[in-house]
Amino acid sequence: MHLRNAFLILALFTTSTLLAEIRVSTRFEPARVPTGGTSKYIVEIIETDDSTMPKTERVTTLPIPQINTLTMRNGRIAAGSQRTQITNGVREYSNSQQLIIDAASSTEGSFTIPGYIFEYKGGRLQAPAATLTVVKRSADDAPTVDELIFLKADAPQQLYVGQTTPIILKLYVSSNVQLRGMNPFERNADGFTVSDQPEEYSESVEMANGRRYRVYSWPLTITPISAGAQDLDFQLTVSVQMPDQRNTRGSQFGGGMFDNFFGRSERFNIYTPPTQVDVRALPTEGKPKSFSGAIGQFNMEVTSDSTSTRVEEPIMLSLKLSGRGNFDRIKGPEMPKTRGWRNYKPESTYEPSNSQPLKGVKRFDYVFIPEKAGNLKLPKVSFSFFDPKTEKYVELTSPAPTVKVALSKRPAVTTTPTETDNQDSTPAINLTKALSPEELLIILDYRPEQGRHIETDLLSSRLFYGLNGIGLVALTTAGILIYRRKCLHNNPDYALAHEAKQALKKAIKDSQSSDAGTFYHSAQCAIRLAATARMKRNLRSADFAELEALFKQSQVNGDVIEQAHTLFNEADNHRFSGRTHSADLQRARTQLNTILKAL
Amino acid sequence: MSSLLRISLLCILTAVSAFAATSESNTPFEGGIEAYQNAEYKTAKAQFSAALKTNETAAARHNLGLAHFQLNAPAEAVWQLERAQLLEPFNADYRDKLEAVRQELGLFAGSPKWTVLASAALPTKMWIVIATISFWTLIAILILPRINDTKIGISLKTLRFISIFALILSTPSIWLNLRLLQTGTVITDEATSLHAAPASAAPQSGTARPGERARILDQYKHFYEIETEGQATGWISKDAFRPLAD
Repeated sequence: MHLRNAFLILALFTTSTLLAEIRVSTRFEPARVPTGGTSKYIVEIIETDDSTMPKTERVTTLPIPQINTLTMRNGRIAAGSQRTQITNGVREYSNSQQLIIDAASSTEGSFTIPGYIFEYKGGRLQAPAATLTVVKRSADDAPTVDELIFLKADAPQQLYVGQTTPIILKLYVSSNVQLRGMNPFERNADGFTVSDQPEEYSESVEMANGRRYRVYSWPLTITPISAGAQDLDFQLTVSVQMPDQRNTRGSQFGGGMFDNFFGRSERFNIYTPPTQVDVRALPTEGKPKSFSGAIGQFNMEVTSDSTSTRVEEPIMLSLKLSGRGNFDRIKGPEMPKTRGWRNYKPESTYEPSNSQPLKGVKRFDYVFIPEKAGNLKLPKVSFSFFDPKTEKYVELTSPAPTVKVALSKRPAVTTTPTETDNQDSTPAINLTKALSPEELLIILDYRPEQGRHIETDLLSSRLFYGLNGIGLVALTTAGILIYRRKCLHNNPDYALAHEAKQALKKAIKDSQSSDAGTFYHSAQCAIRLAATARMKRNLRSADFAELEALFKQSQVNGDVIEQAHTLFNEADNHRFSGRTHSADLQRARTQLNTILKAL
Repeated sequence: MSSLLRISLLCILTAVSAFAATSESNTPFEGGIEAYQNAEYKTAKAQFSAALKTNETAAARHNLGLAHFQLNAPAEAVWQLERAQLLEPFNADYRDKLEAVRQELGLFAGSPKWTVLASAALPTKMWIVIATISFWTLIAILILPRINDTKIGISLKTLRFISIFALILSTPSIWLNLRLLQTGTVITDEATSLHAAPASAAPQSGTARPGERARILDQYKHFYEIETEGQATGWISKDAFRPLAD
């Protein structure tokens, strides 16, 4: 903390040493004014040097704090003075500049601008405090400049973004003040576009506050460009001869005529009262698609110059908008692409009304070229605007006119790039030459490459049917397989029967053997598996008695049961007798086939 | 060994010279080009026609079209160039020439729409293969998991998306390609009457201009019913109109 303070003191000491020859003073001139009167706040910077004339640096900003109702405006730099003083043979050069700001207050009181530090020539200068005393105006006080000359603009309190409105800027000059000249007005209106000041003004006489004024009026138009509270202030610099200077009683020339010619003019900056306009954004609710920024009140008329034409022969569709509003911001409505027509961007003309600003007629001419013959409809024309009076959008739509288009009588001309098409492109050396259609049409193709094969009946071709057949078969097969797998997985009876059938196939195959032992064993297995598959019960190790009971239960033919009995007996005899072959295997095979068929 | 080498070299030399002699002989296509360059357009036309009988190439169609154009048959030239463009849809040179000839005939350039160009990105046969495979794949993805009582995974979902996308692309492309084949060109050198019925004596219902494109609506014996670019509808003799798929 101590270290920082020491460093600060050292820095201030160094700065003051470096700027030892620059002095700054501030004052109000006059230091006492009546309410509404204007005083000048003057900041004077004086630089002195022993060797050369110092050069001043232009000061652009001063960190002056805001003081209650004290209005400060019109900051400017006054021409400085240079002085060379020789005292006892020692030269001293000094150069000064004055920064002047107008100060005024509508309330009485003492207003002190405290001291502040500003940067100058890389250093820091301390401007001392200055006080202005504003006293109450007495009845016999002379009128202030603001009472003799003032500026007014009758701006509306509320507008919509994009809404163009006329206003009149009026300069009031008291009849006993002589106006010698004026500069074009300046404006503080960042949220608006303002029309240029007309060169000519109208002059009239008005009474205001018991005084007679000559009034100079300029009609202007303003258009808000952003929403919110927007400042709208105008400033005018006038050169006038004030009444006290026209007082001729002390004039050595003895008359007002000489004063009128040779009297000294004073320049004043006069301002409109601070004005804010409430600028509203356009409502989004109910905004038509065709809305393109028109605000006001309009009527629409759509006409075509002809109701019949030929292919490639253009007709003109005219859209006439009349009324009052921001015509300068109205663009021709986009015409939708319409079958059979091609169209170009419209040409627009505007005829303003002489009597009323913002009133007039705007016309858009669209060129439409038919591309085919027949009764063709031109597109519907829609135009919408926002009515600030009703605060609603209005959409105007015209019906689609029908045009009778006959066939063309003339051949079409090949379009070639125009010069205007190439204007935007960067200049380049053109090393290629575009061939004309005539030249193009004599050039052959020297490469006989195999192109595509054109097949007309592809939907009835073998490829189409084959692909779809394969698809159907593959899908069906996959469906069946998936279904079977699902049944095997989920249904135990089905799985048992399926397994039995698989085993049965093997058993039947084995029963073809000529070896009696193998045959009878396989035959018994086959009958048991067939029974298993039919009854959906595991009968792989069942004896004949059990099988016979189940056969009877499921109403198998008696002969079949008898044959099965015989076969089982034969098999047992064969098995337990130890014989290796039988002479009557053929009959047993026939029996087996009969039994299996029956099962 | 050396004599065997010599005999082999001799055989090779003989074969090469025989091949060279064969390749020097003019094909009809080359003959057509030569005749065209000599301004013998009738011969060129005959040669290019002969070339097309053996092998239909876009270049031969295009060259035949130009030969017709030189022989003051621009409507026939339009048909040949339309056909050449059908064989090579993305050949900008053919398209430019077709547009130029059409403009010579007082017609619009008639550049193809992007949809037609997009559908020509693949041959119709390929579109059909894509459509069929994507259709059956989609059906399989929709049905088989239901039979199996299973939910489909991300891979099958991706496949389903691809199938749907391919089907959406291929179906309109097939339709556009087949529709293109249902068009044709008026090949007469004068404007031709369209009739209200398939008979020369039937009342005139419109006019078809030389080289004008038209869509075939119907056909009966020696007549096509067409709708022209100029929206005229009527019957026209098959001598005056040639389908693009002819």
